[in-house]
Amino acid sequence: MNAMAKSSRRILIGAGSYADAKSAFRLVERLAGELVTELGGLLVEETLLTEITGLPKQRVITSSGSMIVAPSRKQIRTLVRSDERAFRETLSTLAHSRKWSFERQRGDLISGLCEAAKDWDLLLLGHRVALRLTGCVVLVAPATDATTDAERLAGEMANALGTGSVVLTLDPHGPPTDAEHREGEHFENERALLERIARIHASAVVLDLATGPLRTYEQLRHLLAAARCPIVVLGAGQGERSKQAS
Amino acid sequence: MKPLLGDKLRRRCDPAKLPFQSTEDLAEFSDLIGQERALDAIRLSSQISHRDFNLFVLGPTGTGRHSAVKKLLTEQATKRPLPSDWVYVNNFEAAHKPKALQLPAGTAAVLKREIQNLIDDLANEIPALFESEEYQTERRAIEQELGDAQEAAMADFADRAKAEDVALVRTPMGFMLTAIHEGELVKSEDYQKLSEAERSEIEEKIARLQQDLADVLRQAPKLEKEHRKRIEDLNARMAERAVSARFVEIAGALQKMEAVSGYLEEVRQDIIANADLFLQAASQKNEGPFPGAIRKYHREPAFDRYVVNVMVSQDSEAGVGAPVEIEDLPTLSRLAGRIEHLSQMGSLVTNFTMIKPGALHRANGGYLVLDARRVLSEPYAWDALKQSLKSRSITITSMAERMSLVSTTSLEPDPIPLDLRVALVGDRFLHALLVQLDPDFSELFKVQADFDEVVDRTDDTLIQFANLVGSYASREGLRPITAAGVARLLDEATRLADDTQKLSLRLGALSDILREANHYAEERDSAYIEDGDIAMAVREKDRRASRIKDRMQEVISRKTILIDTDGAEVGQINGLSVIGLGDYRFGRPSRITARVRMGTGKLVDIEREVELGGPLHSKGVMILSGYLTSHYALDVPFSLHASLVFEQSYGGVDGDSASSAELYALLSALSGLPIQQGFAVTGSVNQTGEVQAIGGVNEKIEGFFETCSARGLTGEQGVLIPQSNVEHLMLRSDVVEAAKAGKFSVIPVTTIDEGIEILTGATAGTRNADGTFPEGSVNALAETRLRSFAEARREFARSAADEEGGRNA
Repeated sequence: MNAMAKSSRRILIGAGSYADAKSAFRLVERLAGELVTELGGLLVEETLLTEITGLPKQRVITSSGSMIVAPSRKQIRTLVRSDERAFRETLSTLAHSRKWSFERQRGDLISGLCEAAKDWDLLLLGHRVALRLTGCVVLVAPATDATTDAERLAGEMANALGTGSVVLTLDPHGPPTDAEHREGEHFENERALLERIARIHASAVVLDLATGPLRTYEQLRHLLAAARCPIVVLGAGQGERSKQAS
Repeated sequence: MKPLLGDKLRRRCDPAKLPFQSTEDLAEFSDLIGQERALDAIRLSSQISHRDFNLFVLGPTGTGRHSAVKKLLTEQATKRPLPSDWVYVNNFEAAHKPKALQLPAGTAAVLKREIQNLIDDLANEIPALFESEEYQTERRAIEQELGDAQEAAMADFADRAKAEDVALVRTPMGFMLTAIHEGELVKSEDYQKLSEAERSEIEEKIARLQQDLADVLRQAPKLEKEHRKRIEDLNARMAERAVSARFVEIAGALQKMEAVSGYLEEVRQDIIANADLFLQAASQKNEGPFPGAIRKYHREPAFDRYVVNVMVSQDSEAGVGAPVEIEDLPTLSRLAGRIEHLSQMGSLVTNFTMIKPGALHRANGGYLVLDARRVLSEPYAWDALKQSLKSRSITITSMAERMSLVSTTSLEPDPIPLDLRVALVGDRFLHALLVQLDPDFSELFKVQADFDEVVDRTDDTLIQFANLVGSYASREGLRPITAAGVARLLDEATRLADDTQKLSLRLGALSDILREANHYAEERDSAYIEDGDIAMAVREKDRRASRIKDRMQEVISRKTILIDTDGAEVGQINGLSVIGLGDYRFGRPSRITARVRMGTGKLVDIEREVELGGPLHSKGVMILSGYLTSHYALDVPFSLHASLVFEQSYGGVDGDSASSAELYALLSALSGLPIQQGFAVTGSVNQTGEVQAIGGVNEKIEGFFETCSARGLTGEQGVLIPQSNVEHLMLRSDVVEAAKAGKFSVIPVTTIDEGIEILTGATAGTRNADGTFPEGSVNALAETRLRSFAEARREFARSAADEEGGRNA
């Protein structure tokens, strides 16, 4: 029995490319057990990508550090179709006999995934990793709270991966002084939190959009950019579209 | 010449002269008789320390060669030190070249056990160490440190890019940088709307930061490499801790051996470098009924690399004693060892654990006894043996490899130094062939032990022989033999020797008789084997083998084959021949006829003309021609045309033992004097007319006796034998009894003249001073006939010349 199996049964894996999705697949492969009854896949073709490509001297830097000519819009569409096939095949292989579904969308990655995740127990947001080393599991949680599902999930994931976990809390009012003060690093603003996350080598970041401290799509987008690793999102459907002051 | 009396026809051992009642009274006796020369040779070969004094034991089958070699070598082996143990172990640097380790006697098994225990222990201890919190913490710390370093570099880059209004975007192919203008990502369609200066600035920033990003990402493989190295170092450190702690427990005596300590250090290093083998083994499900803690990990293929493959292991408790190895099936692989293969996924694979020892390994430091014929008949076995002796080392090579038949993975094990003495047991013919055809043979086998097949029959040897027979009976669990029984057996030994002055040393044949006699004694519920039992065994053995002989006698009795045993005929005589079927021989008479007429001095051997006569027979016939030409009518040309034939002979004829009979037939034909058909004749003749010894005299006499006996003995029948064969007479009792009764005679002759007188009843005739033979003698009649042929020939030639002259005139 494992963390994900206990916490959720229906998992949606989402990414903007197959390269990003692969890290999520690896995570599911190591964590998912028999109680995961359904896997979903959502590949979001970001419209922004085709709009920003084509600047002079713009290149694509591969994971190995090589620079190649930036793809044209047509090439990007071809690549997306190729990613779609790979995503579907990998998902079906991973699902085995479980129920599975796949969808491809165009639009904004975060809002598209969060909207789609409303019908799912858990959203696993993929992000390519530069190093194939097992990092810790980072839990982003409110400073004061009782034990949450996200906390339990983070702990179980760390056990399953044979690694440790780091708890990062965010409270603009400073750390609470009562007994319910959560163990971990405390931050008073989101910027500081993200700067810290950006320097942690993590296998995954776990958070609950329903309980905070990060609740909006925009905060999730910034978290993904800073963490550069898969994000396990609970309560994705309860995330807020509008940007909230942190 | 007078017929021989009974005691000349068969020499009997007198039981009264044997100093015992039965073999029960005799002490154990296992020495060989009359083989001192051969035994000394074996002792020399077994004791001499110089190389190449290997032994070839030659002699007839059944003379006790094998048992003598085994006995003497075993005696000598007990005085020699225990040889070393030998093992093959993995060569961790070159697996296809396994290393041979020489160990003190009795150590190989200890080392093997120690390594097995070591593997079993480490297979439990290493995984436990790697599962410990200590190890996991260290491993996590390394991963986190390196991961954080990469993340920090990426974060720094991201900060720099953000500070310069450049955004990092993920594409399916990798990362891409784009500019931020007024808080928004610059789209390509808006880019041209920017001022020249803004565009230049953006281009410059993107180009520069792209390079920075590439530099950061290129660090990742380096960090992963460093991670691998540090984890390997950590693993090695952890494994080293477990391994070294366990190695300390290995017996100090083993550690002190140079070869072993070197090997153990290699094992230690290899286990440290391959600790993952132990982790994998532990992670595999234990399917056995016992808990994992007592699981025999050393049996698993993954740990074959640490196996100690014992090739030779000595029993150290004995203290001394070199091995005496007897290999009955000396194939190449059983001799020099073999490398077995295992089929895996259709390929044949092997490793050093599949090296199997051969007889050379087992005999190393001692003696190896082989049957020469078998070694020579096994492909490449002789070559391998010679090569090993020459190089003084054992190199294992498969036959397929030598013949390049199979292309598969193979090994080149270290050759093992060889120090042993080889004893080949073979026959004389084989020895002669090897000496003649194989130049290596004489170099490598410098000692020959030549076993005699006979020994002089003296009072001493008779008693020794009796002792030997008695001990054999005792060892084999046979009944004791009475003195009469032993005497009868000794007589049989004499018969086998074909010589009344000798005893056969073919103990195999005698022991067969003894065992069969024991059976008959058992049947009649006797506590002893008696002479009757021995006689019965001899008789029954003879009867079992005599089907063909009986058929031949039958066709003679029924006159299908014409043999006269009475009356007298001119130019006709009974010759005798011996037919051999394995170790069974019997004699049979053959009618020989001679016909003469005037000719040009040609003696036609019909057997030779139709290629049924062998070279020795042809030689005998030519000697007859020499005899005739040198004895008769020396003053006239030899004008005889004679033909000789073995009547009703449809197989080959060889040997010269019938040459005297042929000469008698010729003399009868020339003289016109008939030969008594109640006689048969055997013996070869030389050009001076002396009758010479032949082989198989007993069988020949018995063969003719049986023919006569079947038709009824008349008292006028007998056999003429060479005088020099009298010493070989060891006739069957029934022949001896008939001779005693005057019903059959065995008459020795020394010359043709003696023989022809007996056969014709006429005087042979000695040449007088005037050069003539006495009138009416055989020789006179023969010479007259030959002279008449010459006269007739001269007349014929004269008339022919006159006729020719008349025509010419």
